[in-house]
Amino acid sequence: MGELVCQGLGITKGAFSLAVPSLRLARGEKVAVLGANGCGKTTLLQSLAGLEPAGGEIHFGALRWDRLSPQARAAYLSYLPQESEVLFNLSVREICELTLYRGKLLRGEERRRVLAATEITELEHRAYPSLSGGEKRRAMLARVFCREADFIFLDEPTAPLDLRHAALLMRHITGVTAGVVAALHDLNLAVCYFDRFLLMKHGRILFDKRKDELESGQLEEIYGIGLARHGDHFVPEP
Amino acid sequence: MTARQVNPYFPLVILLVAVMAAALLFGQVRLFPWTDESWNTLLGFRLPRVLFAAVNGAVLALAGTLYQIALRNPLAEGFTTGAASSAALGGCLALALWGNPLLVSLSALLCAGLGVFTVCGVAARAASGGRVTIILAGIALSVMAGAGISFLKYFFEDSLSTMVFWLMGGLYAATFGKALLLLAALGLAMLFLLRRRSELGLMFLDDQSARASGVNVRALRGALFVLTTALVALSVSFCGVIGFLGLMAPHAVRALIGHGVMVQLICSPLLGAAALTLFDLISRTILPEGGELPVGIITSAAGGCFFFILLLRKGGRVWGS
Repeated sequence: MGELVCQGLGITKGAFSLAVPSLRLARGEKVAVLGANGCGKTTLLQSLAGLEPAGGEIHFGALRWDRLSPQARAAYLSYLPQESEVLFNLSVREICELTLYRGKLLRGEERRRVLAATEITELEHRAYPSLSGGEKRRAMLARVFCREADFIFLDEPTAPLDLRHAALLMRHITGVTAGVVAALHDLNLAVCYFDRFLLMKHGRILFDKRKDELESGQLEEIYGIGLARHGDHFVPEP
Repeated sequence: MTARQVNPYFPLVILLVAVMAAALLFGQVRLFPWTDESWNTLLGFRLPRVLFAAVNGAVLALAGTLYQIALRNPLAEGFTTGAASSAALGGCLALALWGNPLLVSLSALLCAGLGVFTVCGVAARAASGGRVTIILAGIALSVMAGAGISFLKYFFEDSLSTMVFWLMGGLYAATFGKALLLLAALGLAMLFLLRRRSELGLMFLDDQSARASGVNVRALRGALFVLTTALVALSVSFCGVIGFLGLMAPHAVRALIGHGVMVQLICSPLLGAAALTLFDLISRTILPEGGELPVGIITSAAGGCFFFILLLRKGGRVWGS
C-alpha cells in the first residue's frame, strides 16, 4: 500500500493536451474529478491507471508505477471505463469473476457488502446483454469493487444510475479502504461524499481543493455558468 | 439463465466417439463378414481418414472461435479474414504449376501468411477500429484471391479439374502423417490457450477493462491472430477449402451449450470434430456407385440448413443478447 505520486504527466492528442505538472494521491483518499465535457477527465484517469502512456513519472510507494507491466499494475488497481462492453451472454457472476488474480477477489462479508451496495444479488445469474442500462452499470461496478485494490478509478460511475443506486454507491465509496478517483458530473453528489476535488479545464487541473475550500467562483470558471450556493449545494443561477 | 450443473464436455465427447466409431465401421467397402482384408481397410484407410476428418473439424471450429473472440465479430472466420482464401489461391497456384502435393501445402501456407500479413498491415494503418477494418480488408482479400483463382482456372485449363476438385475440399488425401501433424499443431494451440484462459476470458470485456485488468490486449490479439491463421492455413493446405464449419461450430456451441470461455475453447473443437467426421461419413457413403462427394459440398449444404434452424430457434443466443 502506498500513495500515488505523479510528476510531469503530459499527453497531446490532436488539438487536446493534458498537462499535470504534479499530483499526489494519498492512500484511501476519495477524489472527485470535475469539469466540462472534453476537459480531460477520462484522459487523466487513463494516464493515472497506466492505460495511456503519459510521459513524466508516476511512483506508487517504492514502485515505478508507469514502468510496471500491465499485468503487475493490475494487481493494485481497478478501473471502470466510461462505457463497458461484454461479448456473449456472460452472467453477472461470471463477469465479476473475470480476473488474473483470483486470490484478490473479495469473499464472504466484504463481497456481500459490494453486492448490497450495487443491489446486484438478484441479477447475479442474468445474462449481461439482457440487463437494462443502469443494471449493466451496476454489474460493472460490482465487478470493479469485488476485488482488492489500492486505487479504484471510476469514469462517470453514476451516469446511468437512479438516485437510490447513485446514493448507495457513494456511501459504499466512502466506506472502502482503497483510494477512489472518480470523474463525476453530479456536482452535488460529489460534494456530499468526496473529500477532495480536482477542477479541470482544457486539460489542466485549475483547482485542487478540499471540500471546505470549494467556492462558487472556481466552479463557475470550469463550468462556464453562474452558480448560486445554498449551504453545501450549488445550483445554476436562473 | 440457469446455472448449468451438467458437465458440458461429457456429452460431446460421447458424441464424438460415437460418430468416429460409426465412421470407422461404415464406408464403401464392407467390413463384415470379417476377413483379413477388413483389418487392412480399417487400419490402413478408415482410421487415418477418420482421424484426419476429426482433427480438421476441430481445427476449423477452434479457428472460428478464436477469430470471433479476437475480432469481437460474429462473422469472423477463416474466410472473412482472408486466411482461407489466400491459402486456396496458393494451393491452386502450386497445382497449376507443379501439381506436387508437398508444394501445394507449402504454397498454401506461404500465401495465407502473406495474405493475413497484408490484411493486418492495412488494418494497422487504418485510423481507428482495426477490428472491423480487418474483416473488411479480409473480405477484399478474399475477393481478390477469388479473382486470382478464376484466372488460374482459365489460364491453366489442363489443371482445371484438379483445382476445382481440390477447392471443393476433400479428405481423400488423408494420411497418418498429416493427421498427426495437424493434431500436434492443435495440441500446441490448445496448450497455449488453456494456459492463458484467464486473459482470454478478460478479452470478453471491452479493451479498457481488459487492459486495466492486466491483459496486453494488442499482443494477445496479435498472437491469437497468428496462431489461428497458421491453423487455418495448415488445414486448407491439407484438404482444400471446407466451408462454413469454422463459422457454424462456435455459434452452435454458444446457442446450445454456453458462452463461458472454457466452454467455447473446449466444446467448439469437439463439436467441429464430430460434425466433420459425420459429414465425411456422409460424403463417402451417399453416392451409390462407390463414388465420393467432396466433403465441402456436404458441410456447406447440411451445415447451412442446420444453421438456419439454429437461427430460427435460438437466434438471439448465437452471439449474445
